[in-house]
Parts: sequence; C-alpha cells; structure tokens
Amino acid sequence: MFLKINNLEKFYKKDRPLIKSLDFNVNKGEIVSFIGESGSGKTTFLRCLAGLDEINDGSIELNGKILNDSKTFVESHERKIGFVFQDYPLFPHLNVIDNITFNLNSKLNGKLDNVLGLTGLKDLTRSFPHELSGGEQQRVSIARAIIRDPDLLLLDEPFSNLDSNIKLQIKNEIYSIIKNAGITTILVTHDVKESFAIADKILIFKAGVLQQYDEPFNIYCKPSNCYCAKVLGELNLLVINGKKYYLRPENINIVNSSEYKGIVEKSSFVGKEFQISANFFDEKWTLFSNNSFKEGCELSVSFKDEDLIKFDSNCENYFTQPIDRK
Amino acid sequence: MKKIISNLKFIVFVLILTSCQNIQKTNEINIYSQRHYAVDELQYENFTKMTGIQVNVTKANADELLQRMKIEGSSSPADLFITVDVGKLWQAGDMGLLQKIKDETITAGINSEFLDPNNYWIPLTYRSRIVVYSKERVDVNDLSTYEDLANEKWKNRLLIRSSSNSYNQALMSSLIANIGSDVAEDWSTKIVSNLAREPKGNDRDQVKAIASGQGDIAVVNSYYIGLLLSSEKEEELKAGNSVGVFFPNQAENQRGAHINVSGIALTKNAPNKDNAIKLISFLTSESAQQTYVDNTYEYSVNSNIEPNEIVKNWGDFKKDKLDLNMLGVKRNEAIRIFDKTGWK
Amino acid sequence: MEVKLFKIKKPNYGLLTVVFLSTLIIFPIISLIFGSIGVDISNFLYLSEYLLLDYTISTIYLLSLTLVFSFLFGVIPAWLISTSRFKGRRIYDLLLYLPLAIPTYIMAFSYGDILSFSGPFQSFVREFIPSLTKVVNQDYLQIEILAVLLSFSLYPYLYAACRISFSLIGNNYINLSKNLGLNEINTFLRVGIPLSRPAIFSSIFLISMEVLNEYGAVSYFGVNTYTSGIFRAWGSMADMDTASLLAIVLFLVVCLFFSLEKWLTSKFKYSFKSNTDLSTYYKNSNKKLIYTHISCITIILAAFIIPILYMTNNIFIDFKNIDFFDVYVLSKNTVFVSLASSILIVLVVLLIQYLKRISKSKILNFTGETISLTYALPGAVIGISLILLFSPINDYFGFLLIGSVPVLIYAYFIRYMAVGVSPIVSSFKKHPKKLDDSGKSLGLKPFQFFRKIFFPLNKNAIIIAFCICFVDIMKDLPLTLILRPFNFDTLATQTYEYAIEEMITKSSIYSITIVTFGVILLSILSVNQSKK
Repeated sequence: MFLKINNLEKFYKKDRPLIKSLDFNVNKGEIVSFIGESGSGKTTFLRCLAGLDEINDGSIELNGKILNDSKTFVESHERKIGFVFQDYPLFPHLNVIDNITFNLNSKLNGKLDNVLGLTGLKDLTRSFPHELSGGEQQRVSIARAIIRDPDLLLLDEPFSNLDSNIKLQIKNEIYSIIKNAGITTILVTHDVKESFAIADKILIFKAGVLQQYDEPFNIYCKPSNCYCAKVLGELNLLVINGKKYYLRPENINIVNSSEYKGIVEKSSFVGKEFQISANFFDEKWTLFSNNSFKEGCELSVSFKDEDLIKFDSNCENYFTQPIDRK
Repeated sequence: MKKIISNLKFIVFVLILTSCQNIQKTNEINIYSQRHYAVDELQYENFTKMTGIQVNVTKANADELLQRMKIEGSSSPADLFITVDVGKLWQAGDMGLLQKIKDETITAGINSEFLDPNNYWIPLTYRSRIVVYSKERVDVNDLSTYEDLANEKWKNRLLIRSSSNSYNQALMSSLIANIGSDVAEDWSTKIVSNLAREPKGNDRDQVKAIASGQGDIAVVNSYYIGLLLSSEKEEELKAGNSVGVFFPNQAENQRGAHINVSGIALTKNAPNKDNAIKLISFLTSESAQQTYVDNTYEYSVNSNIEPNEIVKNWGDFKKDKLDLNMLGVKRNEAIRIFDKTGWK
Repeated sequence: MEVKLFKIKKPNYGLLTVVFLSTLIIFPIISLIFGSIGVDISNFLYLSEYLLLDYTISTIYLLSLTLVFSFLFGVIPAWLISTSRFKGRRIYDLLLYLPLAIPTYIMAFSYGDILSFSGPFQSFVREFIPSLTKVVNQDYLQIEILAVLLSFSLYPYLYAACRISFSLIGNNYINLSKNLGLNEINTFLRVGIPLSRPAIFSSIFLISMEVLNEYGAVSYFGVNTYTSGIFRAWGSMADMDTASLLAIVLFLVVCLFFSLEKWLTSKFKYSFKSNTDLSTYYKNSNKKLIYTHISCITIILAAFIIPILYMTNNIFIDFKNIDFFDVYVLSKNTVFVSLASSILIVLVVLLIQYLKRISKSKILNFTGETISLTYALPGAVIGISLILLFSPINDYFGFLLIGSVPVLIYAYFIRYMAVGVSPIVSSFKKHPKKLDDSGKSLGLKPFQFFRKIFFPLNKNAIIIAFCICFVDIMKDLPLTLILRPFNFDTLATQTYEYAIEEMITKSSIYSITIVTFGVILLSILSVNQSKK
C-alpha cells in the first residue's frame, strides 16, 4: 500500500469531531475521488495530509514513511505532497515559469519542458497571473504541483471556480495530465459526475465517516447504504410487502401494461430522451423514455428483479459511526 | 455621513473666522523674531502692561523670516525684526528691508561700541565667543588668542561645532575683517587639523566632550556656559565646573574677545512705526536691560547693568571693537573659507 | 439612462475635480520651478564643486542605514506578531506603533543627552560599573547611531504597513508556500515580503522623505546631508534661489525613483483573495517565542520607554518652572490645526482615489500618485513657495493670508498628503475590481456606492491615514515656524525652540505632550485594527 490512513481522527472542538476514525489505503498511481458535501471536512482532511493541520489520533503513512501519528509530525514543507488549492493561488509578482519553479533549484530544464508540454503552457511562460484565464491559472497550479514529482497529489475542488462551458474540457485535460504523469492523486469534490470519469476509486464521506470506498462501478451497483446510492444517481422507492426497495431510473422500462402503474406529472426533454416525473404508489419516481407523455396520463412499467436494490435496516440512511469492515 | 458633512461646514466656518482675525488692528506691533527665550515674552508682557500696545510675535529662523519679509515687500505686517546674530541684521539692511532709527533717547543709554554706524539696527544684548579649557589637563597660561588655537600644541585637543552654526560664521567673519582672508584661511586649515573630532553637537556638547576627555579646549558661546552652570542636573553641573572660562585676545596690544549682539531693527514699511519705536526704547531702557540679565546669561548693552552672577564671576573682559556689521559683510567669504578648508 | 450617466458624465466632473485639487497641491512646486528658471547659478556651481558630492554620499549612507534598521525594527516584528499567537501579543502590537509619536529631532536630542558624558547612561556606569567607564566613554554623535535613532522614530511606518499587508496576504499563500517546501523564514523572505512590496515601498518612501528632510537631528550629529546643502545655500550664503534649485533637483531625483518603482511593479497586480488571521498558521517553538519577546522588548524599550523615562525625569527636575496654562494653550493650537488638516487630507485623498477608481482616465491615474511627491520637498521650501504664491494676494487685497490659519492648513495639506495617500491607496488596491462591477450592477450611484461599499470596506485604512497624518502634522516644524500666525505656538515649535537653545530639560513637558496625544491616537488605531 502506498498511502495508508489509519483510524485518522480530527477535531477542532473535541465534542464536534470533523473526521471520525477514517481508515483507507490508496495504491500507487491511483486516482481517488473523495466525495462529500460542502463543509463536511474534506478540505480539512487534505490539510491533514499536506501537513497544514495536525491530526488528533491515528496515523498517516505515505510511501512507507509515517507522516503523522501520535509521536511524529513531519512539517508541511518536508512532505513530498503536491497541493492544488481550491482557488489555485498564484504568486502575483511572479510570471508563469517562476511560479512553477518557485523554490526549486534550476537543474530541471528537461523536466520543465516536459511539464509545460503536458500542461500546454509553453506559450504562456512569461505571462503574469492576472493575464491568465481561470483554466490557465488552474493548469499553472497543477504544473507547479507535479513538477516537484510529489508522492501524492491533492486537488481541492479543482473545477469549482471554472465556467461550466470550459469545465468539461479542462477536466479532461487535467485527467490526462495526471494519468500521464502517473501520480497518486486524491481529488476532493462534491460533484459525483466529475468523479466517474476520472477516478479509479471513489470514497464517499459523510458526517465524519467513510460511507463507502470502492470502484465507481461497484459503488453505483452495490451502494453500501441509501446515502451512497443517492449520491451516485437518482433512486426510486418501491415498497413491496412492507419492505423497501430502490430502483435506478435507467433500469425501468415503459411497457404497454403491467401491475406497476403511475400517473405522469411532468415530462421534459433533456437531450437525447425525455425525463419523466411520475407518481407511483404515492412516491415520486423519475424515469427516462424516448417519447414524451402528457401530464395526467397513465404509465405502466416493468423491471428486472435483480435490479432492485435493497439495504439492511442500518443502511437506510447513512452510517453515523465508522463501520468495522474487517 | 451627514454628521461628517455638518462637521465640515463647521470647520470651514471656523477657518473663515480665524482668517478674518488677521485684519490689522490699530494698537499693536508685529515682530518677526529669531529670539525665543522666555525672557522675551516677559518683556513684551511688561510693555503691554505699560503702554496697552499689543505685541504680536512670529518666531522662526532668521533666514526664513528674511525671505518672508523680502517676498511680502510693502505689504509685510512686520514692524520689527529681531535676531540673535548681528550678521542677519546687516543682511536685512543690505536687502533694503530696514529703515534707519535715529533716536538719541534710545542710543543714549547704550554703550557706543555696540551701535550700528549706519543706524539700521539697535543692539539689545551681547555675548562673547570664548574658549573653555579642561581645568585638569590645560594650563591656562598656554591659552592666548583665537589665532593661537591654530598652534600645533592643540593637535587633536580642540573642539568646536559645525561651520553651519551662525556663531562660528560670525567668528570667522571677524577674523577675516581683522587679520585678512588669507591668514584666516590658513588659520581655518590648521584649526581643522587640530580638531579632536569632527565638528558636531551643540556648544554644551563641546563642554561635555572636554569633561569626557575627548578634547581639552573648546570654542563656545558664553551664553551656553551660563546655561550649563545653572543646570538642575548634577552631572551637567559637574561637567560645567570641570572647565575654565577664558576670554581670548585680552593682552595689551590685542583686539579683544569676539562678540555678537542680539539686536532689533525697524522694517522699511513698518505699519506701526510709532509703536515699534516705543518698544525699542522700552527694550533698551535700564529696567528692561535689567530684566534681560536677570533671566538670561547675556550681557547688557548698557554699561551700567551688571550681568548675571554666574557670568559676572568670569570677570570683565576686553571686547573686539570691530564694526559689528563686518560679521555680516564678511559672511559669504567666511562660508567659502570653511568649505575650502574642509571645516564641516 | 442611469447607467450612462454613471459611465460618461460623472467621470468628467470627477476629472475636473481631481485636476483642480491636484493643481492646488502641485501649484507651489510649479511656481517654484518656474521661479528658478534663469537664476544665477554661480553659488550652485560652487556648492556642487565643494560640497554636494560629500553631502550626497553621506545622505545615501545615512538613508541606507536608516532603511536597514527600520526594516529590522519594523518588518520583522510585524511578521512575528502577524503570524503567531502568544501572550503579550496585543500589548506589543500597540507599543510598537508608539515611537512614531516621538519627533526625530527629540529622539536625537534626547539620546544625545542620555548617552553624553554627563548623561544618565555614562553616569550610571561610572557609579556602578567603574571598570567599564573607559569602554562606554565614547563619542556617540556618530552617523551610524543617528541612523538607529532616526529609525527608532520612523520604523513604525514600516511596521504599520507590514502589519496590514501581512494580515491581508491570507492563509492561501502561507499554505501554498508551506506546501511548496518553504519553512517560516523562507516564507517570510520569499512570500511575505514580495507580496507586501507595495506596502513596503510606500513606507520606505515615507521614511526616505523624512530622512531627506530631517535637519535638526542631522546637524546636531554633525552629519551633512543634501538638505544641509539646501540650508547652507539659503542660510549661510543668503541665496534662496540656489536653495530652491537644490530642492528642485532633489525633487526630480525622487520623482525618478518613484516612477522607476511604479514602472517596475506595473506588471504585477497585488489583489489578494482572502483575508484571514494568520496568527494560528505557525506553531510557536520556544526558540521563536524567546526571539520574539527579546526583539519586541528591545525595540520598545529603546525606541519608546527610554526616551519617555528620560523626558519624564526632566519634567520632574524642572517641575516648578512649568507653565501648565501655556501647555494647555499650545495643545489646543496643535490639536486644532492637526485635526483640521488631517480631516481635509483624508477627505481629499478619498475623493481623488475614489474618482480615480470609478473612472478609467489615465490622467487620474497619474495625478493620484504624483501628488504625494510633494513630500520630497523640504518643508521650509514649501513654506517659502507658499509665501511667494500668496504675497500678491496680500498686496492686492490688503488682506493677510500669509500667517493665517487657513494657509498654514493648506501648507500641511500639501506637505502631508503623501502620508494620507499611502494607507488608503494600498487598501483600495487590495479590493478587487469585481467589487466595483458588482456595485454598479446593484444600481448604486457613485456616492451611494462610496458610502455603502467603499467607506465601510476601507474604514480601517481611513482611520489609519487620519491618525498618521494627525501625528505627523502635530510634529511638524518647518512649515509651522514660517507660516504660523502671530503669537501662535504649537507644541512642536515650543519643543524645538527650547531644544535648539540647549534647554532640553525645559522642552520635555512639550514633547511629552506631543507624545501623549500621539499615543492616544495610535492606541485607537491599534485597538481598532486588532478588533478585525
């Protein structure tokens, strides 16, 4: 294991822990997407990894070296961790090259060219930060982080400040930069859709607790609790014999007639198909169809039994205490 | 914000009011003065009590006041100009800023050797630029004249302040007038090479430097020695008492110690001329002259008035009889000699 | 329609206003420059031949040393106090501002006396450590010591500017530099200082101008600076023309440096996104804590406590001779002129900077900065140029403007503009342009926008500008001496008159009153700042 987080605990006020006994590992070269709501402690976690904050319990181990536990605290400037901050601050008095090579000795000519090529900054080397667009500033921040060959790269909401029309393009660019550089990365975000494309693994974090940590496909198909399931996509609730089941919209087929009938409330065009809201057994469902349906008309649907998702009683919502996964 | 604006209005109002107060009143005199001693205020107060004439004073450096009078020209409010260096009075006369005062009642009481032959100014008090010496390390018999300070025996022993000081400039001017500029220049060169340290500090500091052993003799103004010897600080008294006072050039065939007067002059366009003359008469009267010596360490220009006790103890001395206007006339030449010979 | 008014019509009014105000400020200088055309330059040549080189060298030496010491006394404690939290921090923060209230010449005269042979320092050693008597018996009137003393009373400019700037840098950059492998010392040197360059430059500018214009302390220490040359031409050689010529040369040199710095930094934009308290961002090692305490205490002791004790002692010695009514009257005069002038300065600076901000005119940009250059001229020269300017009015109306309070305030206004400009400009620069746009989009008219957004946002800087102007004007000598009305003394003139007559003991009650007012104001400033 390359990065080991053991029972990490972090609080600013003892009675209100931000992170409760966090426990997970990352393999070398993996991109992990750390998903959580705003204010859930994601940034604090990154700060702990980077050494900007001390953890209160547990340990952080990177590349076989303890960075932080009850005895050790490796100062931030001595850790080999690249951090791309949320609003990617660049030094306003330095140009692109000087920002990237800040605090590095000059013996990296080849590497610099490589990184500039990778990030597509070759034509901007003499520009100053205020002359760059948001996406360009972002790439400078990333270039600055990866030129140091970090053992671990941390990205804090890297796309949140970008316009949505360039977001997709930049996201792809950055993904390929990181993948090509082969750097172990933790990407913090509140947007799930960002993660599917990029992440090798997804970690869902809520209420200070790790909810699920797995490959995107597995999380989508086998969410460990209702919260995880909802985070990754919409769910429709179906009660059969007093038991709760959940259905993904894309697993529902519209048929001419079946025992499952509902009333259409709204149908709206969302690109290649229509998204339909309908009322089934007093629950609001969402499903997709190639055709539009008029409001008030009746709809019959069918699905496969194996697509029904079902949780234990303790997984109805989300875990409030760390679960023992051993 | 409204508050700020209303406050502003108030300030503007006050400003206008205060500026209106400057319109001339009748029963007053305006003085531009370089003197700023407590005794002056006392004199003006006494004068106002006696005559009912109000005295207005602006105190600043002599050069700035001269410049101001020059620019203000005929609209200048100044009636009188007072300095502590007669050179500046000469300069004011030379710049055409003064009018002559011919009033026997004023000059009668004044020792004639202090009077201006051109009648442009009236002396009020005088002081001498003297030599002080370490009682411990200097035999008083080694001291004789200003000229002798250039002697090699004082090498690294002599202390004097900067050549920017107007008392030094006056001293140099008197030397030029008395012994010629070539000799004076040679003298200046030798003085510079005799200095125990670069010229710095005020006159009091020269005495302290003797007390601390940095030098043995110093050229200082008699007035400041008086101040030092009346200090309320024990250590300063000690320093003051460790030096002896010596008046140079006292021997029979010698010209006497250099003096400089503090004087008053009537401006060319004095708006309150009569009042101004009254003040001059008052300041040169025996009672006012007595007030000067009672409150400062200056000498009175009236021969009948004895100086302050401390000053009196130094004894009587022979004064240089040079026309005091020379202290102004030779000023520019003096500066050039200082600069040429490296007297900082 | 509303929007159009905002964009096109208003800035023209603004432009006119600013041009008018700047003319008021620059007019005396222009008249001085024109007045010096065609003057007899023989004395100028004479001075250049014999003295100017020497004077210039010692000026540069004194200036460099003073800046180095001011840097040590100002910037380092500002960093230590901004970036760590420890017991006594707020007290230090307050006390470190206070030496600004002590005029440079008082600092120099006081220490001249304290260190002299008969002063308390040497007397103490003679009494209690006789073995060291010889060691301490030195000539302390040295240029290096002068530089230290000057920086004692001038470093607070740097301290104040850096305190604000460091706390505005925000945690973003601190985190970043930690992450990029910088320890605290390197963060200070390579991030803190470069990012505070505008603040540091503007305070270095103020300090330099103060040093260049200092005359009393400098001549007491026997150091001849360029200003000594100006006064030598004027006082000793009775040649005002040459003096103004020298002043103009100095003025032009300062302009050159000023434009150079502006040109060099024109490429950068220093607007920071966040504004956070840094005090928790560095851990306090014991070593650092000890160092912090030692450096703060030493500076406060040397630059403030010792001179204050000295003055207080003088007051006790001379207590029976003190005329307290006089102290009261002079305080009233001093507070009145300082208050009126500093309010005026703050308002005009705000107006100019605000108009500059909302319009995009190049001319405004230019004038906004250049008006502070008047600080480069010696006060006495400004005084004379004003007399020159107003004497025709005197002639014409038979109405005395010279020697009236309004002209005195006008003079302070011209001279101390620079002091008010720098905190407000740097505060304005810190606020991103987006703010202006958002204000506009909310439909605020310029004045509303000013009142609702700019005033509250820059309130702190405005208070700082006001306090520093007030303290500086309170200490002013050359302008007050030459332009004051009849029978009008201020605390500073009285202090000075006693001090140059070598009656420093008597001057202490007046100087300590100056210091007291200064301390009150600076405390308000400091408390106000730490509230944030």
